[in-house]
Amino acid sequence: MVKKFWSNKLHRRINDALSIVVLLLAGYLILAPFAPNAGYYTKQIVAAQPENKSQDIEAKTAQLYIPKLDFDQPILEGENAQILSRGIWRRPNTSKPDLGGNTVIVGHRFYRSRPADFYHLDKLKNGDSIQIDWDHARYTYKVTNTLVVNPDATHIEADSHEPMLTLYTCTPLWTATNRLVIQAKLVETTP
Amino acid sequence: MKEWHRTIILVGLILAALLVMWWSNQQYQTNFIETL
Repeated sequence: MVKKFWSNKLHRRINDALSIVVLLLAGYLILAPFAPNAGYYTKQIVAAQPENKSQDIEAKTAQLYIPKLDFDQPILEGENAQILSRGIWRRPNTSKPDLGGNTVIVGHRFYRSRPADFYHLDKLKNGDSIQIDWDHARYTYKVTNTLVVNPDATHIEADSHEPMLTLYTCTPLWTATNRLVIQAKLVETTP
Repeated sequence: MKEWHRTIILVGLILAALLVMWWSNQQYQTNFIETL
């Protein structure tokens, strides 16, 4: 009696439940890569982003703001790349905004199967504005170059005569095959 | 098809999907700061 109940009814219900799980997982795998972009473009349509969101310079001593992406996050300092799990990281071997040269900031494109800090970095184009609040001053940069390089292209972190900002993350999306690099030159400093 | 066959196939598909998600994430994290 018990065996008949198991094989005919309960087992079929368990299989039906498993089928639903399979369908949900398949749907997630197919749709997950598109979900962040859908959210990004919806937000662009619903509300135009303000040009200058980080008003309180005094309160933020190391903050990166990208108006086009509505990105506003603190810049983390540290020697170990593990800090990237908590946010964007200024590479310690590179310059700082107040020292001129090449300031390099990196971030995850995605982390633990979820979109991360620099997910939308590929949407930056030449002329877009990037701001850094650093040590009670605001540094405004304009994007001058976007490029894709191999992971061993260490020249993108080389110092420069002109003050500039370099952001990079992984590309193509969901892989670590190459690096997407955004280079921007300093256009304004507001004390 | 017997119910047990169906169970095995479904569990296999679930494990395969989880493996793809884990592998994708693992590959990304181990390669991110490779040389830069």
